[in-house]
Amino acid sequence: MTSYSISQVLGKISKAVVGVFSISDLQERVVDLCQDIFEARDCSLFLFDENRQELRLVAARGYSAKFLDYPDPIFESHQQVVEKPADDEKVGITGWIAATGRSFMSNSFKELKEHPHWRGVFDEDRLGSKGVHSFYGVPLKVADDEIIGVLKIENKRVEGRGQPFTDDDAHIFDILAAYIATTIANARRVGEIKRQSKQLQTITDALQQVVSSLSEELPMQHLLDEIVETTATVLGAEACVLFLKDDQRDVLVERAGVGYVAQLIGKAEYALIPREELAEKPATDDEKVGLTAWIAITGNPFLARNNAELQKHPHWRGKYDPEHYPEGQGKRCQSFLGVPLLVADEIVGVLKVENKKVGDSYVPLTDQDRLVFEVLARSIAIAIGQIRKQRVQREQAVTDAMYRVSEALAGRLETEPLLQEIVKVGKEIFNAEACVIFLVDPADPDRLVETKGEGYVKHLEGIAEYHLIPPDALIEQPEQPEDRVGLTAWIAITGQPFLARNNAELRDHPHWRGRYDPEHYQAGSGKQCNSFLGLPLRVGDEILGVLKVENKQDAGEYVPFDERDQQLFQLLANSAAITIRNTRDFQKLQETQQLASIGRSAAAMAHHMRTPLQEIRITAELLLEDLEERKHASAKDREDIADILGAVERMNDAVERVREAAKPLGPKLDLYDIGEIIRNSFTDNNSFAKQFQERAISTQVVGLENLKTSVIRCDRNLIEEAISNLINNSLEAIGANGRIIVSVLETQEGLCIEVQDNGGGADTNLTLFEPFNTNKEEGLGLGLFIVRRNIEAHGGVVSYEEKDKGACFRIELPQHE
Amino acid sequence: MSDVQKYRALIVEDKKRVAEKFQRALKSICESMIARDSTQAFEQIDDFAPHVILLDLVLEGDREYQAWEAGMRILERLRKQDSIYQDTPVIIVTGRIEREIEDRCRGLGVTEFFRKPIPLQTLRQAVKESLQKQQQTDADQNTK
Repeated sequence: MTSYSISQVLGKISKAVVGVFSISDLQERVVDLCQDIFEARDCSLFLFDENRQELRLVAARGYSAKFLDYPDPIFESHQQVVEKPADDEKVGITGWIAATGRSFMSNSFKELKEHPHWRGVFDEDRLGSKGVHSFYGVPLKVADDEIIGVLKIENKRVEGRGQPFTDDDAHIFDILAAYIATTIANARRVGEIKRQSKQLQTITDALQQVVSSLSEELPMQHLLDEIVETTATVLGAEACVLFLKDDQRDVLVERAGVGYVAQLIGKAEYALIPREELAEKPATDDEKVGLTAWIAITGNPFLARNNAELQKHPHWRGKYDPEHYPEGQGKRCQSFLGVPLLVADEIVGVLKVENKKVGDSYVPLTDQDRLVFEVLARSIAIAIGQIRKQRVQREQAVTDAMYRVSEALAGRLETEPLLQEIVKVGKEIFNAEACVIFLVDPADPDRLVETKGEGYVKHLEGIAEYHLIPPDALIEQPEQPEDRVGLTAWIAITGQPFLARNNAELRDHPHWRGRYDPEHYQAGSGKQCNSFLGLPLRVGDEILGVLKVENKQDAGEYVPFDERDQQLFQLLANSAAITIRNTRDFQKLQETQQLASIGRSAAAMAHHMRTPLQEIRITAELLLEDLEERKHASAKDREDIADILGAVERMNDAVERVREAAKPLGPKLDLYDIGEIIRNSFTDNNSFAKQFQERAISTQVVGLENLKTSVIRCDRNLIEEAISNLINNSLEAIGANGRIIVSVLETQEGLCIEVQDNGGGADTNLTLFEPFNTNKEEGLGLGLFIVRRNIEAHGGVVSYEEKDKGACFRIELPQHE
Repeated sequence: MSDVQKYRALIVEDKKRVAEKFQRALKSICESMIARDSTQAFEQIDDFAPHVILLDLVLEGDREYQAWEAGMRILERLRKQDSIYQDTPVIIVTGRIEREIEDRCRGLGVTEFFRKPIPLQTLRQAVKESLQKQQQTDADQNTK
């Protein structure tokens, strides 16, 4: 398989051959191209002479010098080609292809030699006994099935090794051959015309101008305008108009025009009907489709030398005559030439000229005009086809981009590489100077921060940020500079996209501030934001952030983004938003799964530890029994064995607690009184009562009396466990004059419970709520982890801050309706 | 104190040393045999007709069942309708501590459900009580 995609090949072909009207140039380009695309060592092009008699080698790459002395001609059209030739009847495979119009592929020398017409005049010389290991030859056919030559590729080599041609190669080569055939035929026709009239040199120049504008990847409209302009000039016509088919509506619409037709661009249209429904000789006006539509439906050109000829056409209606020739001016259509525009076999539109003029007088359009016009139309059709392909290519780029994004997601499931890929892809699609993602900070929903950037925005990752305000606080047309939120923030706040074709449009936005311009464009560099496209990253109603791309470039020059770019970018933004969201959800899931897997391993570990613990325990006990029986047991022995048993108990206890902490929770929600929960877990908790008393710890509960309702929906056991774990934590931290205060407060979201002590605060170097993180000698570091687990099981949040030289843990429980 | 020395206990435990320690612990009470998996267990039950069975639930390397289910399967087979061991007391001593496992075992009529590690005395006490109950039943039947 060639390493190029079909669209890439087509792009290469068009760039190389379209607009080249010098036949010899074209021939050389064709063989270069084939060698390159198909990685063929050898490539040759044979063409019939202009009398279509002799097939000659006109261009070749690779091969030996001897090969280039090929008999000239290699084949003549009068030669008889029989199916099973005797040796002297063989015409060679190239001749056979030219005569039969069939292609031939072989991927071994043996197979090639088995072809009935193989003569192998030079084959053995080229590759010794190996001969030709891969071969593909195709006829060059033009529209009317006329064969104008043969194109061959031989000996595909990839990294120095012989390779067979694949079906993909063949497919692409077939397309290439068809394309080349048409181009050569065109070039020849131009040559003919040139010979007929010197004046036509200007036409070919004009033609070249039209088609070469292709390689500049101009917007469609610009190209169409240029086409009608050039055509009108070349033919000296008063009007030239281009109709293109609107596939959605099955109508022909005027897309470009010069002269008196220009006023109807986008307005004049003809309905298209299937060819079989077209009346040959319409009896009524209703059956007439109009001349322009007739050309598009039948694919036939039409030439009217004068108005009478025009009116004689069975489908002529003069539908737009009132607009074209206003009454009272004595104007009318003096001459008419219309041709269909064919891309492959599909009619995509109609090109028309009217009213040829020499000086001030109208002259009839001639057959020669028609010839020129047809060549023009063919080139234009190729041009339009090319633009369509470019669109396909661009869509391909987006699909590729989507694929890369999803691949990045599937591969890593971490946000970081995913964002990296999104900005990379965004920058590449548009050949832009910068692409950047701003995300809403999950910990601070008012903060929009640059999370990932490619290009001149990269160094502001984690630095560039905007403050978000509620949509209703946004001033639409801020008068004070300080009321501007910045364009990026505006996108996130309003959820609206913004496209600026140039710097002026950008600055015109009421919320533009250019706050990071000094960081993006160095002073004195003359750089600035030349084009801007920013879209919200949203999933449903939730706005996750903003995706922006700036300074689109083409061929080294800044070009504006267009609406199509916006559509493409929107696709990327949509996909990015969903993917970011999915990744986040996945990470949350992963955390729970991590918990679940800790749970599973804890259960397994518990079992595996219990049996050896049993062994230690019972062995120690039996040992003590033995000693006692033999009256050998000393007080020290008994003490030692008690220590062993104590250690076994503690280990067992630890195992049990790990298992408990890691156990997945399904909270059993019901209505409970928060006051009672606090009493149970704090003031009236029997396991603390003794300590409170002995250590003279002051305990206090505040805020209960201010609650509108003291009833909360929760799993009482889980909340009590969480609170008592926090109390326990405080008890371990506080010394003399210890104080623990539990306060409750209603918030917008629900209920907030704080446990505050005066124990000096926690060591925040530790990830407080992670399991097994402790700086205490005793304990597993599970207490705060269990607090987090229990609160999160309610959809709540637990946080820590140091307050008045003590620890303050805050539990926030959402209101369950 | 009643004499249960003539009674027999079967220890179903995959860990050899733990099984031997249990055997040593029970030496003062009754005769005991060891089975390391479900196959051995049923052979021993048929040959040796134990009066009480100490059963571990997880039996690594069991030839018939998955390790984590082996003990439960033995229990289920013992408690089957047509089984002559339906009433044989079973004491579970296991590393599995899940509440639902205990519930299933109790549903199948186990005498005790112990989580390892259990103290020597607890083990002895449970076996002794089972055998005494057995003895009582035997005595009642003889009287009839």
